[in-house]
Amino acid sequence: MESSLFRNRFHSEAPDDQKRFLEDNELPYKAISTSDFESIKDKLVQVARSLNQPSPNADSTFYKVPFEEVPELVAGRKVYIHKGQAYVPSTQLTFLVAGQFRSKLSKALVLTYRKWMSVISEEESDRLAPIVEALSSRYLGPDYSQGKIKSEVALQDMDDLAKTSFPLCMRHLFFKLREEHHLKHGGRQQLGLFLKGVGLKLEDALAFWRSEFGQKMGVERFDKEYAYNIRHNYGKEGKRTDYTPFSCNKIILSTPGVGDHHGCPYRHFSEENLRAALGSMHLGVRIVDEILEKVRNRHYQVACSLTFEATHGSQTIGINHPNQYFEQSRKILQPKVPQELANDNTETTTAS
Amino acid sequence: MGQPHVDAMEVDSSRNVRDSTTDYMQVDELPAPEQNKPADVFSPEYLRLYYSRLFPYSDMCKWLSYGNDGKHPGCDSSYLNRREFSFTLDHDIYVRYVSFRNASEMESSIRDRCPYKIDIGAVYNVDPAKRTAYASSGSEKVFAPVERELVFDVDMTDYDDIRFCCTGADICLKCWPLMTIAIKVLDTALREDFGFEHILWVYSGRRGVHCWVCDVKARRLTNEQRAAVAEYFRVYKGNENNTKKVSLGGSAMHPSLLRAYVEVLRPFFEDQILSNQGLLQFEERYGKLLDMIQDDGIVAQAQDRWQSSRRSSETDVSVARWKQLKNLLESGKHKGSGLRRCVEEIIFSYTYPRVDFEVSKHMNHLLKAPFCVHPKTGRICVPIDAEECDRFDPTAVPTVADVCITSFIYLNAVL
Repeated sequence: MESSLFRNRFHSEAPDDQKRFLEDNELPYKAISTSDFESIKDKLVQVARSLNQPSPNADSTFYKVPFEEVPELVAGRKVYIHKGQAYVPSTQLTFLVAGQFRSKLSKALVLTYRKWMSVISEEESDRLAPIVEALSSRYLGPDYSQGKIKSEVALQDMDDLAKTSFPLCMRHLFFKLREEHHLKHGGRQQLGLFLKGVGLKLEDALAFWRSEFGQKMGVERFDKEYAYNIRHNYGKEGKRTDYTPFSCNKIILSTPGVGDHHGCPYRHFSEENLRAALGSMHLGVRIVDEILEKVRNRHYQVACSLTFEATHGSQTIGINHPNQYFEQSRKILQPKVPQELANDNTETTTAS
Repeated sequence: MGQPHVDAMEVDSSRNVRDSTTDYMQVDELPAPEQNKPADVFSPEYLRLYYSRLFPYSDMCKWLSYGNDGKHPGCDSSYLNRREFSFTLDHDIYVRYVSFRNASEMESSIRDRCPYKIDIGAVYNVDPAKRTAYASSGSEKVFAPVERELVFDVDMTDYDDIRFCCTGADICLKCWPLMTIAIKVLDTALREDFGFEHILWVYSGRRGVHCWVCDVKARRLTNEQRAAVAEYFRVYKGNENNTKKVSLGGSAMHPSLLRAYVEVLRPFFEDQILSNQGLLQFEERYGKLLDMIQDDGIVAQAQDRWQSSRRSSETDVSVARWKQLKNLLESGKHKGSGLRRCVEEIIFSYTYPRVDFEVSKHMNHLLKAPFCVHPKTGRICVPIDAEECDRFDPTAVPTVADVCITSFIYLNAVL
């Protein structure tokens, strides 16, 4: 996030100010000469056209830097590279500088963390330590990690819950699993962690996945190759990290490939397939059209909220997390019995 | 009888018989080979023999030392020892953080444990076997990777949606060209675009290829930079949930993609893939291809023509139909930009390399070592010469049984 802020601020600077920033910080970026430019001009034009950007001309400035310095541009094929050098136009200068910023920041953060863990937190136990620790507990939202789960979910209820309370991404994965008795890694992670967040306990999770995968490959193979991973997700193996279920943001940014069913259907499905999927949830044509309109404008989470509203008959605040969708759904479909009533019942039954 | 003659191996050296013949005075008993039975391409006995006579320990260590095994004062003698290896033993026992100081330690360890699979990991800041002592809690020190080759894994199963000659773990000479394409495209791009020079391609033993980029710059790339390189090669984003698998947006293609298209993808597609895979032969197959075309009118025209002709027995029906389709698309171009890149997008979908992103991204990812034996096929994971990759035949790669028997015969003849 710091990098984004930095990029934004740098980008809004005037070109001369940007140049001065480069000099002040001794960033070694030199513009290429005219003759260099002419020799690769056609390639630079191609790159610009592939991005639907205006073609460079004699007045454009290009910087020649090792490709390692501009990973985002390389990843998006947004820059011409040759023999390990990237030719970055001045319009993309921010990526160059932000890259430096981020790596310096990252290194400094790592050093600070190590020093903190080994030396400072002891020394500062009366002063800084309580403040630093409090910082981290100001979460922006619940992360649905294991310690915070309030309710449990029984295995036999899974199919009904999937039909009524799972968001579309998890419905799709769940029913694909039932259909094909298999899911690839991305799907297992996305669905598995979601189920953990929903309250499925480890033993039940193992039983669930085993009963599905077992049908295709036999339980021995499942136990040998897949059980470990499930236990790992619950923090019972290896470095025992309690992995948190994926948020919408993470799911939308994922890149499902061949044979995958994870990701966000609003983003990753073709319109036709999405229409079919929403139809199978018994949504009317008009609401489906409204949802698809949101999808076309890339408001995937809004589309998901609309689906929630249509299937639950009530408003919802924006969906940011599949487990949030599930919890809100349960609140509506299964309101909790107030505590006093429950106590009264037990008293009357025990009195004889 | 002269030297063992093994056609398919594209290896330049490294399987030399050792100079000293004293080792070979006692030749072990070989299990009697039977003809063409799957059980005989691999067995623990063959594996043991392979590890005791043929596995190239010193070449492997010479490679992985990157010169640090010399006497030069700049050499770091701890370098090889800081490399992680992993063994998969019989009964799926998996052992990580294995390390060796030199080739003879590697040899005795491998001969002793006879691993079914050997993986190579990263070079860490300390000997992996001593990691817990180094990074005890409360210390500033962290056990971390410092170097690792840039690697790529191309697996035929990632192409299952576009190959019809085989399924699952099988491969044949009709689908292997997809791997040839991957080698050509990636090798050229790694050299031309990224400036790498020391690139090793290896057959994975069953259905794919691995690539090891060994330049110093490559070994020192961070995870983020590796991810960027892998992403640079990602073009195909398809699965059964979407129809538009490739988007080559814009009014021109990136120079790297254009080079791949002109030099490799289009010629392979039109000369080999179309007919090998009979891509337009049957409706189930051409249906997929037509799904990628946004113009319903053209799709309908193609379907009408092909459904009625039913010439599915001719071998060049796919080539002929492709010509027809191209004509339709060319003439339809003026209708809108949706069709502009259609031909290219189709070709990219059916040919462009599909690299496993996760393998390349993480420095500490463990990847199978060259010269391993694949336990299911018995095939040796031999290097592939990228410049001769058109001639590589995966079905003729020697198995561990082959090499044991051949060297047995050779040694018998020599002694």
